[in-house]
Amino acid sequence: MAETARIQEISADGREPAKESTDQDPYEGPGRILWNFLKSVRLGVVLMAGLAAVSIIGTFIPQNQPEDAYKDAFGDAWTRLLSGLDLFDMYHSSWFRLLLALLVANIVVCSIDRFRAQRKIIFTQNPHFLPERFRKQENRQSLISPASPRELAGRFAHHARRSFSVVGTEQRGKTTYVYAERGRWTRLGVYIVHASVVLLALGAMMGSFFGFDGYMKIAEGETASQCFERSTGKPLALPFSVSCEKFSVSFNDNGSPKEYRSSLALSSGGRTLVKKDVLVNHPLRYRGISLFQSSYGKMPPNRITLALTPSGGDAPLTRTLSVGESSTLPGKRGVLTLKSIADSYAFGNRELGETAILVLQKPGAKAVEVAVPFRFPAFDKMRRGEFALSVKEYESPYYTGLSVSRDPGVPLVYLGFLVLIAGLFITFFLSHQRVLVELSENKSGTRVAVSGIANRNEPGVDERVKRIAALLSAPAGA
Amino acid sequence: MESSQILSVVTFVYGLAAALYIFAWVFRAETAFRFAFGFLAAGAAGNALGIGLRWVESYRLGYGHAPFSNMYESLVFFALTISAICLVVVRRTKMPALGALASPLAFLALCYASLSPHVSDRIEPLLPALKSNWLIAHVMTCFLGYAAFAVGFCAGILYLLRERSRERRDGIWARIPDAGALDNLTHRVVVFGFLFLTIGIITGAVWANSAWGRYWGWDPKETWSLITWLFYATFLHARLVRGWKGSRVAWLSSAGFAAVIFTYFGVNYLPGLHSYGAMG
Ligand code: HEM
Repeated sequence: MAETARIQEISADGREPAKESTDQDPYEGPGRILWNFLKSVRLGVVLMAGLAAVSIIGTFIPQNQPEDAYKDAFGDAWTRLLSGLDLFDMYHSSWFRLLLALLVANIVVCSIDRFRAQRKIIFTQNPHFLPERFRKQENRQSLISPASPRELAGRFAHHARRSFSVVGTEQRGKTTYVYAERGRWTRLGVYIVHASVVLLALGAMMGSFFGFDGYMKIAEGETASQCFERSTGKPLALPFSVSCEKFSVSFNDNGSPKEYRSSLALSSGGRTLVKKDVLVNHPLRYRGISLFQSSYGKMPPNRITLALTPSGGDAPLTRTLSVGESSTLPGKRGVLTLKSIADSYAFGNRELGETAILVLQKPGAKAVEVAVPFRFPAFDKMRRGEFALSVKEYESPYYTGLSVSRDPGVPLVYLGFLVLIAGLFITFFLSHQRVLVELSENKSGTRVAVSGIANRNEPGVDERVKRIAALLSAPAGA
Repeated sequence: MESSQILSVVTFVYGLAAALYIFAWVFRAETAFRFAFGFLAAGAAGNALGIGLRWVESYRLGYGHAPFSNMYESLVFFALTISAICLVVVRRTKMPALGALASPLAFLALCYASLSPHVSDRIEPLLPALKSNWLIAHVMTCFLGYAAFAVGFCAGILYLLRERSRERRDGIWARIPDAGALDNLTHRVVVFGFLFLTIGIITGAVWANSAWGRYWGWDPKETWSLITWLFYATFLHARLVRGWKGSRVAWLSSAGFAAVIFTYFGVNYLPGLHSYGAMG
């Protein structure tokens, strides 16, 4: 009992035990040295502060940029050094992971070690109390009551039964002790918090071993069956193909996008598996893989409307063509085919930008290639053909940018979140409260002393002590 | 009345409350202390009303979103959380010195919101990614945490002032609350702040997972919130290590608030900030 009391005493004010118990340690030799190293709170403090400190680095050096961006910013030598230290992807580097693993090991060992020392206290069937400790409490209230100890003990026990979990009465010499306590289990709170950190670590590990995080771009009307890993850019094959059947976007008055949505269809082996409109915050989930609307943009144009202005001054004709499409011109003037659309086109040493490349095939003549730059409608006049061609309109299809990911660790991480919040709540706001009422008979009645101990949040127990004292000072039969 | 007009009045009321708390501290004026409390409470009520009205106004403009979407709105909410926590703490502890340090923070937050050229008070439509109830929960809990840390910072500063002025037991130095009470207060508000920062980070992670398919991406804002969290976790454990008490813990509490401020403002100046950088 003395041993339990000692531990109780120490843990009650939340300090580390002055001497750590080594006698019951089952580990020997190097194992024990490691164990003792890992159980230290000092190590925990150093690790947490150290992780906070090194994490700062990666917020000042942008992570996962292309190699060239680093070379421009830091120069070759520095880039080699920083990249050797994994500082361009530090949160996934082995040294950072090692620090995290050490922190988790530290939490586990420290918690097991403490738990072994505290187990008896937390799960005890018959709680002990040391009157001397209660007497030292500042919240102690003393009074004299005309009622008998028996009556008072009964009154307190009756009151305590509602709000306390264990109530015991003990006669020691001339004094009757009535002991009550509540919330012994809340001492588990810290272990719950620490366990949640382990759950989070396990969930994150599952995600990084068995999951992936990629992105894909699909033009409206197109289909793709691979995505690219976000950190490395490596292509990853998907177990289905994704078609973007339709993409639409609406805008606010200030020009910012209001809503964008992709109508997606997943299919495999010619069979449609699922169809859904995907919006930001409304992903499509299929067999553990989630597709999120994350961005959008315009593809290069693939369809143009041409104006054909006859050189004689007649009214111009128009033709709308997709890449590869042909159109027969009236009056035996040949067949016009849109061969391709180039991003850039050099004319002498001038750059003309986006340019449609067409082929004009007149009956019985050699095919000629005609370049029609989008931004220079008069350019084709120089050819002095029967028609001058210019681009009147062009259509660029939208592409949808999707995040594609699978993370089987998410349920574990979410569980960790819940456990963490619950554990913190228990640890911070609940406490193990113990109240001792001492009753001793003397000439003028019963001397009553009430005092309480809490392992934290003392004001709570002080309040209870006051209420109990008021209850016991009320006249008999009240 | 429009929300922005109400909030200008609230700024003024907060300024008055702060001045009265300082007066009450310096001159040990009981009446000023009570008036300061009244003004701060009135300011907080007006602040809450202003936020509510702004919410209504955003519906009238056809956008209809909670007023937690940009720097201006987050500063206004920050001012409210600081004054609310300050009211609770001052009511419980009766420390004019704490009011004198904490209430000016609410005043400053509102001043910065309305005066800084970088902070626009226009009500803008929401980006699609921000249309989520998780965002509301995320902002509210984060700022409750930040505000608690702000008050913890004030208590830490008072503790350090007290240490410095040990020989000078006169004037306002004599009216700094005693070390035990300050130490206790710092711990309590940090514990409160830690719980809310934790919930804030968690709701942020859940939101990110519902919007982008991953709950953690190590972007600078996320990383800084984790740094702050680890820092306060260190704070909570430092008391368990022998020799880490008193002024060292007070230093930690003050330095922790610096991390909070960096998470809030500084991250926007880092290279490669993320898309909702000024969000909080
Ligand atoms: C990120 C990780 C961690 C979190 C979130 C965490 C959380 C907590 C919390 C909330 C408390 C209660 C603090 C209080 O009473 O004011 C606590 C207590 C404690 N923690 Fe941690 N902790 C972490 C890591 C660690 C590590 C690495 C150690 C290393 C040994 C450790 C050892 C302890 C000990 C010994 C206690 C006191 C237990 C008691 O009062 O009986 N913790 N922890």
